[in-house]
This record gives sequence, C-alpha cells and structure tokens, in this order.
Amino acid sequence: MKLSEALQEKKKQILSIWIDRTLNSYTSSDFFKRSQDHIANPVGANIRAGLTTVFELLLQEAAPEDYTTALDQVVRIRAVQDFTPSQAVVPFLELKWVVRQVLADDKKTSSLIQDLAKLECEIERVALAAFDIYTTCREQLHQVRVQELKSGSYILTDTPCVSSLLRERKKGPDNIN
Amino acid sequence: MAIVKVDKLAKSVAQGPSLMTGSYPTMDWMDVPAVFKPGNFAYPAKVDIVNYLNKQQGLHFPNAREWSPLDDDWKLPENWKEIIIDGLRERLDKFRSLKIFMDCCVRCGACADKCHFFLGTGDPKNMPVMRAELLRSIYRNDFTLAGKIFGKMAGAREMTVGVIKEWFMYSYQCTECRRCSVYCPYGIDTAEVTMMLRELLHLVGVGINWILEPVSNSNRTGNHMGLQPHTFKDNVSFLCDDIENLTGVKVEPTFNRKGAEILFITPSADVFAEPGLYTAMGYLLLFHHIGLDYTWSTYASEGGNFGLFTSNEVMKKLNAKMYAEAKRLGVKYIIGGECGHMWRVLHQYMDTMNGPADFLEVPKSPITGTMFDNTASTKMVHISEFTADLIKHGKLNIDKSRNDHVIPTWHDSCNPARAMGLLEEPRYILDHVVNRWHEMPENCIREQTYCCGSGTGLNTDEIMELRMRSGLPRANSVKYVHDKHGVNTLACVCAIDRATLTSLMNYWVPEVRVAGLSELVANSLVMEGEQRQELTDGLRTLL
Amino acid sequence: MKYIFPMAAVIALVLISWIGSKIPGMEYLFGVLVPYAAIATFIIGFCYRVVHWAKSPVPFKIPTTCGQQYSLPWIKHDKLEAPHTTSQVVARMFLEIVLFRSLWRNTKAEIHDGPKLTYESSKWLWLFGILFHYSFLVIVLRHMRLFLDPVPGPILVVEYIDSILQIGAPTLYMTDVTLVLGLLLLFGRRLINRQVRYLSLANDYFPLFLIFGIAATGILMRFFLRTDVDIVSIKRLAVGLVTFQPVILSEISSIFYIHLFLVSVLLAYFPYSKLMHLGGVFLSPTRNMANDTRIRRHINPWNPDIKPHSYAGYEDEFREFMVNNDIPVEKELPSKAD
Repeated sequence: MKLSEALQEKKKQILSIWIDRTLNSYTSSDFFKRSQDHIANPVGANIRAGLTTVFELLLQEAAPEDYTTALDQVVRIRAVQDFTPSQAVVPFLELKWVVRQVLADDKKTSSLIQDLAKLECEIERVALAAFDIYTTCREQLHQVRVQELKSGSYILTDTPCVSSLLRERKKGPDNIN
Repeated sequence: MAIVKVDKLAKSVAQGPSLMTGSYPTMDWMDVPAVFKPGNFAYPAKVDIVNYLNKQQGLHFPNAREWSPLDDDWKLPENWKEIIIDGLRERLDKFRSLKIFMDCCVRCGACADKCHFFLGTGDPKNMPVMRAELLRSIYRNDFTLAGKIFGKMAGAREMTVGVIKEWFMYSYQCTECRRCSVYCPYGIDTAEVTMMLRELLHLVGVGINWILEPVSNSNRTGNHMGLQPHTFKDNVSFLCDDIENLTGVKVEPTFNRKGAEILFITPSADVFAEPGLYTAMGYLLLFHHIGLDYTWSTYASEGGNFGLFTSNEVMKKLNAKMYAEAKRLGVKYIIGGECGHMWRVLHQYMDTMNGPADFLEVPKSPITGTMFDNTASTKMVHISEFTADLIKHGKLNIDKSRNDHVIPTWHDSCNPARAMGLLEEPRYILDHVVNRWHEMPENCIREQTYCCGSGTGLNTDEIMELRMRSGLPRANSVKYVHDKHGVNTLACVCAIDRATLTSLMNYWVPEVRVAGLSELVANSLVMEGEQRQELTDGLRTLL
Repeated sequence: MKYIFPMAAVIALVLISWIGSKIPGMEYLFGVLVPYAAIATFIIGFCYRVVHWAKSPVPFKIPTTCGQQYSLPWIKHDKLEAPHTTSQVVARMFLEIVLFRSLWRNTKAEIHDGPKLTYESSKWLWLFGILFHYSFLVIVLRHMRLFLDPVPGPILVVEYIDSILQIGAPTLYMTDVTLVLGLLLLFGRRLINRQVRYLSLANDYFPLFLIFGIAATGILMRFFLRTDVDIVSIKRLAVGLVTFQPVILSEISSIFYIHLFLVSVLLAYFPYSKLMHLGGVFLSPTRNMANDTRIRRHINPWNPDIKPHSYAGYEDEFREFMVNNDIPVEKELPSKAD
C-alpha cells in the first residue's frame, strides 16, 4: 500500500482524532464537538470544516496559497480566544502525531511511517503558514482598535468631561474658563 | 524509530491548563477561581468619577478607591460581606423577579448553549444557568433553609472575596441580551441576575470605567460623549454641511426650541462617531423631506442610558431628562432614534420610573394623521414605527435604485427584539428602500437574534479579544449570508451595534459594513429641489 | 459523582420505612403521623413560599417578547408571543405551562454538505419533560380514587384511558411506563450530556431518585407484590386520612409503607426545593406580564425620588457657550459691567 492510499483510507479516523484533540483545548468542548450546527455552534463547526479542508489539501498536495482560507477559518477564531500564540497554532503540528498514531495502530500501514518525512515537512509548512495568519489576525485586531478610536468613541474618555474637568480643577482654577 | 511524543511536546509548548488536558474541568465549578489577566477585564472606574456620582442626588456610589482586578487585594471595605448580604436582602425584597429566578431554576440546561459568550469562549461559567448559580449559591447559603442545613450539598457556598471576583468577571461577560430567557421554560432572565450582580458590586466600589464615565458625562453634559451644548450643535451642523454637499439640500435643524411639535432624541454617538453619523444624516434628511416641526435638545442629547447597565437608580436619573426637557419645551410628544438598550429603557421602564407624561399628547403623525395608540401612555414613538407609517401612506418619495450598491441583511438588536417586539417595522422599511436584501438563518434572527457581543457597556477596546469571541456567533451568521448571497451591509437599529458590529465585521467579515436603517432610508429619498451628485456610495460617498 | 449522596439518601429512606414499619406499633407512625406531618409541611411550606414571593413587588414590567409587538394596525401582531392584553397573556401562559412552549422553541439549523441548510428542532428535552410531567399528573389523578368514595366519573375516565391497551392482568397503566421512561431519560440526560452534568447539583438528582423510588414501589405493589397488599385496608386508611378518622384495619404490607413514606418525603421536600417551579412558573415576570408598557403605566410601589440633573443647573454651567452659539436659553447672560 502506498502512503497516499493509506491516508485516504484512514482519512475519517485521522480527522476524527485530530478534530477531537483540537476541540479538547476548550474548557467545555462537549457542545463544540456534538453540535453540527453551523449557526448555533460557530467554534466547533468552523474548526471542523477548516481542519477537514486542510487535510484534504494535504492529500491533494495543494499549492501553499490554497490553504489560506481553511487556515484562516481556524486560526482567526483561536487568535481571539484565551490562547498563547503557540497554543493557537499547535493543532496543525499535532496532525503529525495523529497520522503516526493512526498508521502505527494498523499492521497493514505501520511500515509506511518511514515514508512520512515529506508529509511532515508539508505539515510544518502549513503550521508556519498558520502562524503567519495568526499574526495577521492579531495585527488586524489592533487595526480594529485604532479604527474604533479614530471613529470617535475615544471621546468617551478624553473630552472635557467630568473627570478631565476635575483633573483641570486640580491643576488650579485659572485653567478653567 | 520511536514515535515522537508530540502530545508531550505540545504540552510543554502549551502551558495553558485547558489545552490537551481533556474537556470539562474535573474540579467542581465552585473550586475554579476567576483569573484576571490583561485583556479579559474592563478597567475599573476612576475614583473621581465614582465620587462625582456618589455626590449626585438619589445615587449611592460608596467606597471609591484605586484598585485593579490584577491585584490579589481589591481593597474592599472592611464590612464588604455584610454590605453584599444586606444588599442582596434588600433586592430580594424589592424585586419579585429575583426571588422567583433564584428559586425556580431546575438546571435543565436549555439555556446553556444559547449564550453568545458561552458559544464564543466555551467557558462553562458563561452558560446562563451557571452565571445565575454564581449568585444563587450565595442566596441558598444565606436565605434558604435547605442551603443552611445541607450547605454545599444543596448547592450553597459561603460568600468570599473569590466570589466577588467571580461576579465581577462574569457579570461583565454578559450583555443582558435576554436570549437565554427566550428558551427558559420559566422565563428566567439572566439580564435581571446580571443587573443585580452589578448593583451589588457597585455597593463595594467595584465598577468599570467604560460604564461609569459615560454615566457621569451623561448626567452633566446630557450625553455619554461629554459633548457640551455648542459642540453638540456644531457636530450636527457639520452633518448638515455634508448633506448640502451631497444632495444640494439645505437642512436647518433647531436646538432647544420651545413650541416645536416634536422632540427628537437619539444616541449621541449618532452625531459624533462613524458610522452612526450617516444614520444621523438620515434622520435629518427624512425630517426635512416631510417638513417635520421638531427640535433637538442639547440638555437631553442622549438617547442611550448606561444607567441600565449600572443600577435602576442611575437609569431613572438619566432617563428623567427626557420628560423634563419635553415638558420645558412644551412639545406634544417625543420621537426616539435608533438605539437598542435605549429602547428597552423607553419601552419597559420610562413611564414607570418617570411618568405619567400627562403633559404630553398621544402621538399622532402630523403627516399621515396616524395615532400611535401603542404608545398612548409613554408618548414616545420609535423612528422605525414612524417611518414605516410614512411609507405605508406613501408620504416618502423613494427611489430604491439609489440603494443598489448595498445588499443588506437585517440584524435584530437584542433589546428591540426581545424587550419590545420591534421586528416587522424595520423589515417593512427595508423592503421599501432597497431592491434586495437577505435574512440570516432562522435561529439567529428575530427573537432568537445573536447579540453583537459588546452591549451593556462592554464596547471598550481593552477587552477587544473578548468582544471578538462573544461576537463570533453573530459574525459567523453574517459571514454565511455574505458567502451565500453577497451581502455587503449589516443593517440595524442600534447605536452600540453600529459602533461594535463595525469592529466585529472588520475582524471577521471585512467585506461587510454596518449601517443604520435611517441611513438606508435617506439614501433612497428623492428630495425636493435636490441637486444630487452621483452618489455611488449613498451618504457615504466621498466627494 | 454528585448523584451518589442523593441515591444513598433515597436508599436510606427506603430502609427506614421498611424496617420501621416492621416494628410492631410503628404502623401508626408511618401510616398516619408521617403523612399528616408531610401534608402539613407541604401546605404550609407551599403557601409560605408563594406568600414570600408575593410579598416582593414587581417594580418593572419586563416581559420577554418573542414575537412582533402590537403597534401599527396593519402590522401583524403576534398575540401569543408578545401579548398586550390580559387574555393574550393568559393564552401565552397556557401554552407555556400546559405545552412547555419555551422548550419547544429549541430549534436548530443544520448546514449539511452541499451546502444545504435545513431546520430541525432539538426537542428531546421538551419530549422528556412532557412525558414525565403528564405521566405524573395522570398518576396523581388516578390515585384520587383511593381518597374518594364513590370514585368520581372523570377519574374513572382517566383510569380507563390510561389502561386502554389492556395488557396483562392487572392491566398495565401506560403512565407507569412513561413516568419511569421519562425519569430515566431525564436522569440519563443529566449523566450523558456533559454540560448538564457539569451544572447539575445534588438537589437535582435527589427528586429524580425519590420519584423513581415512589414509582418503583408503586409498580411493585400493583404488579408484583399484589398478593401481600390489602387494598381494602389501604382504601380505608386513605379515606380515613382525608376525613380525619384514620384507622389501620389490618397489617398492610411494608411495600405500601415504603411507598407512602417516600411520597411523604416528596411532599415535605417540595416547598423547599426547585420543585417549587410548579408555583414559580405562574409568577415569572418575563412571561406573565403584558407587553403594554407604553400603553398603560405600570406602577412601581417603591419608585425612588430621584431628580435629573436639572436643566437650570445645566444652563448655568454652559450658558455662555449656548448664548454664543445661538442656542435658546431661559436666562440671558448678565450684562457685562464694563
């Protein structure tokens, strides 16, 4: 059996373990795993869809730029959750472990493990791409902050409002007209 | 070849307690402390602000001090426990809702997966039932027989500083959107619980600046933004200049004018912050179009009411300006602009708190003659009710094609949807001012609508990540219609939405903009004597 | 593991009443005194709790609207989901209490590969709830035959319908099956659904076990230990209890005393527990109030005396700016001295 065939055959199992492990990173992962509802369960559904696509792309040996949408689907969510940068992108590296585990568990495929170098290299590249997306997301988040300030909300805390007036009073009565 | 233990590797990479360690925490929820870190809490209120509020007639904001959620010691007053328990007792005696909601929950879990905070964070304490349990456990301990006898076995626990911290964390991770109360078989409304928690926290000097500073601004200058009368007027005048540049129509609104027929009040964000500005231009154009005899007020220049997010006393104090100003100016009734929580206050609280408005008349549209019987007592009409009536009677000269650059979807804002029932009026208007628009999936619109995730004074930038996660359910459903139908505009009737959904979209679905409904109405209006430029982007066109 | 203690508690209760009723002379305690004490606790506790609730006012009218408000005449008003008159509120409450409307609402949309969007409801909780509550109601009604002589027609009808399947002898009551099924499903849900398990407390499991105990002993009595049970004596005792002339004619089997004791515990426990949702559901302000707050003024009995920051105070502070910017004022600026 060739590696690509084995992966195709084990696709369901690999994905299932991989998605479960990724969703296990949430405190109450049960609902995220259980509900297939895209609208009611955005975290679970998007991560499921994103990881599935990434794996399919790996099987197809897709070009690097093809991964962007699927990676974004997963990373954009994790970039605003309570994760460190490494925690946010580690699921992609975990795929290496999952694939090895699944192949090793079956006598038919255990010998294929030595052929994994290329796939693992590819997975690492995907993880790095995910990290790029992570930083883009964070950058975007700060842009959003800046835009919010620019759009006028900042006046809430920095106009001649009570607090700044009080501040001025402290400076001395001459400053107030 | 040995299998690389990526599992272990990942564990060492990821220090977080949740990652790779399995799903639900094995510890009982009572044993999991709230942990604060930069980004997961809003800044505490400034001492000056709290002191200022404490000095106002009828308000009580004791124990002002410098403190930080990051510190172990929150410098609570010495008798904090007594204050909290007494405060809870007082509130149980004042609110039947609180007693019922404390006693009736059977923990069926119907609400659990309905909260956008839970859906975005996966934190079990964000399940509405758990948020209420945070208070219920204290209630059981001090106010019920079962709790006194069986203690923890009956779900009771001692009030500790840790509980205060937990309350602070989770009562400011709830936007009082009431989605959970729709699904609860007993109608238990977490908004009530959150309000009580916040009131109790204020008693020991624990509050956030993003709420209390707008409150004090609003008290003093009339609006959250702290705009003084001349600035407020100037801002509206700038909008009039823009309107003239765009359409050639000269709009001349009046301010604080006695004898006007109608007083118009809208959130101050509309006259100051993008994209609310375009909504304000919408009102100006619409009222000019029909020749309405109305006035703005600089004294009652805020429709919104952050008192709703603070305490019922503050809510009453801020809201009282509206009737006071209506009476002073001698208007017949009031029209309210597009705002979500403002309309919860106006619809459910205003008349009770500051009525009866016997000096006003039952609202009657001067253009169509329609009597707004549904507001016979409060005498305050929603702009969408008013506009829908105008359209129904054919009083607006509309060219839908002027909105062809927008493909909207409709976001029902929490409060107008679940505390008022304003569902069809905006849809009717939308039907008549744009050629095509698309609904989001059924379980996230109307009474089941998802919150923007930043309501109740959580629209501050220090908790941006939190806002992005709690807004994910909404953003995700917008993305769905964007991908499917090419929707490029999220239309709504809420000022907080306009500000915060814009940020939310910028992160999740940057192709989608946020627009107030009145902006879309005004886009489509054919004005008398107009010398309209080629407005490819409606009121947002840059000339 | 929060269910261990409640389970042990129910087993203990069974043992207490089993062993206790075997002790000569204790029949009177378990057959008469305990039931009276339990009923008294139930009635007093229930009334106390309802009065306790009623003592707090409803300061604000806060219905949760789940449909279109009453507004313009040509806009279709959703009378049941956003009622604005008392009769509409009654109708809404009827749906809520009798049909568990809110749990029924639990719909979900699914997006299948395709992509195809479909709607289906997630109504399991509703189904389990309905199954349990209605079975319980019918069983309570059926038991009324023990207390009333002659047995009223409606109760005979309920009984007839409940045993309409005519399976076995004595004929099987459908509600016995559905009650146990409902209990098992509700319990299973608390165990299997991790979310619900996480938020469940010991006092959520206790009533489930207790009612299960009641159902089990009842079923044993009717179908399996029938020969030990003297129905005539039971009926005499029951009628005696309600007419305040209790007599215990002959030795009644222990299983009966266990059953009766568990029922007593349930009654006594009721007012101090979440089971009070039976009363609370009628009083929930988000459901039992009309969405008419702009039409009729709702009165808050403790409406505090709070005045707004006055216009005069506002104008005093900003008068100069206002005058300079042609905003009308009440009092002009004082004329300058020089």
